[in-house]
Amino acid sequence: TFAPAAAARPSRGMATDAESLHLARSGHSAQSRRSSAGPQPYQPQYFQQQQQTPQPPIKLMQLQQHRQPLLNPPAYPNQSVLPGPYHITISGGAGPYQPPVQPPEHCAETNTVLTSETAASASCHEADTGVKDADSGIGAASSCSCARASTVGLSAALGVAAFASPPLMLALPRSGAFAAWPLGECGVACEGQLLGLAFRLLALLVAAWCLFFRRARASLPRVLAFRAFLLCLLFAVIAVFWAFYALRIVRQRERDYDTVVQFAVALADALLFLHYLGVVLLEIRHLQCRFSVKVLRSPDGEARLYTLGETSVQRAAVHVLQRYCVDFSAFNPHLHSMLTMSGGGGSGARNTRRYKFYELDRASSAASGHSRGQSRAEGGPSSAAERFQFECDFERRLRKRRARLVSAADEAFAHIGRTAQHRSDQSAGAAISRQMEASEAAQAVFPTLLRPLQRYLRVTRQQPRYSMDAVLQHLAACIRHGLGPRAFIERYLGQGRVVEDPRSGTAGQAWTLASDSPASRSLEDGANFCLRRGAVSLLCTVRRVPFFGLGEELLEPAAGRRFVLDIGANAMV
Amino acid sequence: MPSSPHTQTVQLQLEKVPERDSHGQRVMVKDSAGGLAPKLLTGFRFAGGIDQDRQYCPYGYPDCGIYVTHVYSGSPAEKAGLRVHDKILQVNGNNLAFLGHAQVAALLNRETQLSLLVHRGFQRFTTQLSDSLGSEARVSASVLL
Repeated sequence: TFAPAAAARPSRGMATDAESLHLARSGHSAQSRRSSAGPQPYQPQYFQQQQQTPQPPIKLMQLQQHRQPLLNPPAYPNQSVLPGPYHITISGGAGPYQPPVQPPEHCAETNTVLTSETAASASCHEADTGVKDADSGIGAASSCSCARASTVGLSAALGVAAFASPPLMLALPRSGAFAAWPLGECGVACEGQLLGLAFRLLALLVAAWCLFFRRARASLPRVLAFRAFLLCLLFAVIAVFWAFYALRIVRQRERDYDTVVQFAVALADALLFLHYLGVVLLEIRHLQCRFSVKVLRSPDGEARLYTLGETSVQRAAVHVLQRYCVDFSAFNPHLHSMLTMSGGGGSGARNTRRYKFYELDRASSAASGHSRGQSRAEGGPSSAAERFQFECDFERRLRKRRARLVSAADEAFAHIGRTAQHRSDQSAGAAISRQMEASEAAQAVFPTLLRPLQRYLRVTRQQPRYSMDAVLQHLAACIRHGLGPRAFIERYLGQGRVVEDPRSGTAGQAWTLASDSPASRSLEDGANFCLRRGAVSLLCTVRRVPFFGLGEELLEPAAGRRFVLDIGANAMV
Repeated sequence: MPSSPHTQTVQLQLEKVPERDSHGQRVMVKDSAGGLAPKLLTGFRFAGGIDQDRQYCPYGYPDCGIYVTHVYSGSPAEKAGLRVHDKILQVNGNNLAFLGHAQVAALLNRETQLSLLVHRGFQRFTTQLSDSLGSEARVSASVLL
């Protein structure tokens, strides 16, 4: 019966937040009201939920049936009917959250596409999450691009050539490939040099492994200047050394093997110094505190300040994104749109109240609509008062539900504690309690937690994030490790950080970088760049940390410090 | 003024002494006649006066009267029995009630022999507080009885 309604949904345009929330709970009040012919009897929502038969909710964008029966349903004497399959979520990208499509003519001339991925395969298989359509497309495309592959291949080839050069230079005279090369023996000093060379090569191998053989954090649009410089220098070093080797040693058939060994050692030294240069250029330079960048997130206005060293704009962007993932709270578009819609008379606000009421004024549409619109446009004070009122109500509701959730969690965990204690009291002939595994215990206490948790998630608009599976797993993990109730619900109380959001793409995210100056230019004071992904925009403003001139002021030793009371006029007579 | 066990009003007699500098020489100042005269010292510091703001004085005197804030040791003031926080009511019969600070200073410097009517009743209670870091703070309250 719901199929036609589901088909009609997309044609109706994006549902509002309130309706998507309805679908989360029972999904039917709005639906049934709209699709049924006759008028529905007035029923407060609280009772609606209990009376309706359990049915799977309808997903807006992706149909994902999520039904999982309890493994061992405990026998509750007071409840004959459990409220059906437990749904806390609409998983997938339901709701009005849509990445805005940017037409190409809007891009400034310095707009570049910044894609980041770590594992090519992971980002290619990311089409599950609905919101990440943009990510999967872009990430997959350029992660497997030949630009990156060629860069990696070139660096690898050069690295192998560099590492293999000294041994090759040593082995060539001895190999007999060249005719008529009388070679001396290796004396003591020569052997010492050989040992030194071996150690240098080992150090080079370990250092190169540390520095260069790492998973890339990001793929950047423009060429990394310093890395390219180092590669060119490496190529130059290898070429020059081999040229000299060919001209001076092979052609003239150098007799003294010591010279050859010294030549190889010189090459190894040059490579080590080049590696040192790479460390300084690539690693150390951006660790200093030279710039401060303020990151401002667009839809909700959260801001942080970070320090950066001397880097290019694109590397600074990567750094900012890494800190953003860890420091910023997860952006909940449903919550945000609910809070921002509150000022305008809030249909979203009204719909989530417990009792429905009908305004006769609203039925007499046009005039009142206009007047309402006008009042909303004029009224600084009226909309502000409404917004304030709404925020107060929201806070109160939030606190109430949070209190209920906390107490329910306390009870549930206390029950588990009692169960564990009964286990130890079995010898006393107490009531037999089954020794349960953590997952079983979790499923046993889950029903008491379900309703308050569901309600709280609904209030904070978090229910798309967490599925029943995830909650059960988390509960089982907490029980297994012996955590307390507060630890369990901590995950659900706040919005969490960006990286903790289960729907954010941890494998790969596609961000767009827009900056005033070209992305490979170094940071300057007053530079701005903007990072965009979907509904979230990060505006980064760079300021230079000032130069501090420090002076010294000598203090007397503590015993010698004297102070005078200022008494005002204090004449001496 | 009512006298209780803690307050008293005394009459003190002072003889000024010429000031000597670090070498022991008498310090000479110009006097009103144009010549040099030895500078005479009484040996105390005072605060107050009708033109002074009471809040600038940390001792918390209750009024703008002339209070002694410091008495130098070995001075005629000390020998006469003048103590810190004494309020000087009269000098040689002159009432100090409505005089400013500079005027009182001029008056005291002018006279050679001083007969002071002094009210002694100002008490300061100080306690010492020390917090966990070991630093000490003095909290003081001033009471005039």
